[in-house]
Amino acid sequence: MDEHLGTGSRWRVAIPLALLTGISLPIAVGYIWIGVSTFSQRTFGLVPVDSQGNVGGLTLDNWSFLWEDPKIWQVTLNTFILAVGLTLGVVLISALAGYALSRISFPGRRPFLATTLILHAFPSVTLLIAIYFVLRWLAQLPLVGRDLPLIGGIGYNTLGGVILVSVGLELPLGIWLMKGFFDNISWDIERAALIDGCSRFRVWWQILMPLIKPGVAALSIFSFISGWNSFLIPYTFITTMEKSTLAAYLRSLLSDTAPVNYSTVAAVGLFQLIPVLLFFFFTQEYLLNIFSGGTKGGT
Amino acid sequence: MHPKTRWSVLVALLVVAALVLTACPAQPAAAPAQEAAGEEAAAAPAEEAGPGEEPLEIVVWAQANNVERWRADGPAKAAEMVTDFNVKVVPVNDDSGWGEYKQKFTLAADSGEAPDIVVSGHEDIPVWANAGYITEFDWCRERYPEFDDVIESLWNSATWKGKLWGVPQDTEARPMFFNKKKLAEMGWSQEEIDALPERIKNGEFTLDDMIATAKEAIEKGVVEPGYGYWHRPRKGGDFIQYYAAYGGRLYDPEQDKLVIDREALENWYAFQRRVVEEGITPENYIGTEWSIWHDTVSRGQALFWNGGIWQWADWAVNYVADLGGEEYLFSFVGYALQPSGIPGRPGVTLSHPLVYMITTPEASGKENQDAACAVLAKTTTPEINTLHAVESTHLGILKSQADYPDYANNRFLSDVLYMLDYNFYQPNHVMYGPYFDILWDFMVKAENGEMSPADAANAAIELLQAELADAVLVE
Repeated sequence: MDEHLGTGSRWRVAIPLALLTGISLPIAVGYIWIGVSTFSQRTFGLVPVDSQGNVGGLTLDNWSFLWEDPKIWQVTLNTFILAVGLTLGVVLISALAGYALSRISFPGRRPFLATTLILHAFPSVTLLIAIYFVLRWLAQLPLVGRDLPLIGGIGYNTLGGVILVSVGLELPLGIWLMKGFFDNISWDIERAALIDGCSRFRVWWQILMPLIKPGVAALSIFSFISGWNSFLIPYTFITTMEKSTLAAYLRSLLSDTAPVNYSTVAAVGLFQLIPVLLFFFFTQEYLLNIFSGGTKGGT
Repeated sequence: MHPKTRWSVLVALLVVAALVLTACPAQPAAAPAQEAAGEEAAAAPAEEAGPGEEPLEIVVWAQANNVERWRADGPAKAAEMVTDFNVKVVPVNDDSGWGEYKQKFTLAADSGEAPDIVVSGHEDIPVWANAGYITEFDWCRERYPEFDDVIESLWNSATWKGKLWGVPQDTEARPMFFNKKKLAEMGWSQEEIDALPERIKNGEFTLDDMIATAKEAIEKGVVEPGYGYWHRPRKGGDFIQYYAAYGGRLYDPEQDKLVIDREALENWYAFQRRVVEEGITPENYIGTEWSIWHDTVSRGQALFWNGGIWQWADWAVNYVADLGGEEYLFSFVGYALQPSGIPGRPGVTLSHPLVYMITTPEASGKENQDAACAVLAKTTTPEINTLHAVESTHLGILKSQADYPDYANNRFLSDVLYMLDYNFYQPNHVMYGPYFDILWDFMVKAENGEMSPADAANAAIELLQAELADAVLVE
């Protein structure tokens, strides 16, 4: 009987595992292919082959963009600035707005929340022309339009402009996420602090922000990954490769007319993926918190 | 609100308002009429830099793959020969696709961030000139004798409203290629194969004959079903050749209006459907990846296919280099005009010259037009243009190139040169873009069998009349 139960429970584990493995296999094969092809002249399935089709043909040529194309490091730095700028902007504004929407009653609060949600439903491609006119106008602002260090400015054809737009497009999700975390924190702690004479800002910064650290971490990770992989906005609003990002660099390798060297494309793709994988590896436990909310308890 | 906070808010608002207000005068004045732009540029003082001074930077944008890099690299090399300006050219060869390239230029020009020189199709002239992005070119042409060498008829493609807007960069023909080995397998003699271009030129081998031959090749097992005829797989002006082959005309220069010929349009759409129904072109063929198309035709799997002469270099370098490159292509690929749809009428081919255009000070944010003109003069020479023509197999644009050894010794370019006598251009008309989009959309519906050719033609004409109104004449 025990043996029978044991077999049954093993099956209960084995069947879902087999199913999950089967479903995940194509994705895993894709990743393995990327890894193999970046070090191969050509591939036959997952096997590296040389130009004659014989097994072998391992090479580092596909990675030569790292030492032969000086643009790659500039583009990587731009991507990093974009990802960090986007993360800072989204987290700061979302945390402030989320707190206000969660805790303060003000006219237009509900319509604001509803509108924010609608904004999130807009695909960014439909907003490109309108955003372009805004950025073009911003570019003409003195000081901030074009002459900021590091990000170039906040107008068209600047990294800052791309950050600004990307922050705007990411905010709806961030605000709702932060509001959810603030909603889950007990009023008692905050009320006690206010009675003790704390200002609203101090309550937000010193009492509540430490309590929603998992939420901030999760939003930071999402924003960073979104900024790191972002393509459409930088591709459309930045004209030169020197100011552009890794995703746009990758696109430039996918020629419309000449044959594409997919091994190089895979190498650049993997290069772009490495920071995200590392980032994800060290922070995945925070990501899971996004589903469990902040500190529980209270009345 | 605490008084101190109120003051902070007020000061912040004032700072924002001041920033907004000071931004307004910085906005460039509305682009002046393009008529004035050229004069301004012509009158601009020459910015000669003395020795030791930083060279003037001229940015050139081109849409080009690896074999077409001279489009932007040519001006960079030519800049070394410019003596009246101290210039340095920053070449930008972009291979992300024509649509993206043009969109990028439009956005940049509208923001005053365009390059000093842009290369694009001649059909962009009306729209970009109308928007004030490019300057007239007559003043530049008159300034340097190098431009006198340009083949006279090519200037027409760069002319709009009686004025020049650019200098031709290259031109080409779009032949119908054929597989000589497959024709031989079908039983054609060498003489018959060699005579095919001449027969097409004389209107003795029409589109109907081409369909019949392709069908026969499939029946005899010489080519796989669906591999008898491969036209261009994606959107492009090439398809207008079929409209022209059935006698359609595009433009009435007298009235400056686009023209649509109902009968030619219906015949064109019927042809597109027929090649699928007869089994010589695959079902749902439109949208095929370019790399698959190039690979298939350059490795001899199709019997007939339509392409452009520039693809010859692309195939040789990028697709069949391991099989012998150009020699391999010569061993089995033949080329002729696009056959006519009407017996007795000569074949046709579409030429689509690209042109170098100089941007206005408003579009580029710089007053480098004189220096840009000097660079283009040195680019319009046999030495520079032949580099591009030979490497990318495009036809030259200069009279002197016919005798320039590097050009004249190129077998392929010499073979196809006669096609320029049978070519036509797409019209320079502001509404040509929407006109072509409509024709294309209904052509796809006809070829895919979503609409009958007659219905598709009627619907296309109705839409043309609704959207373009007076800009189009229906014949």
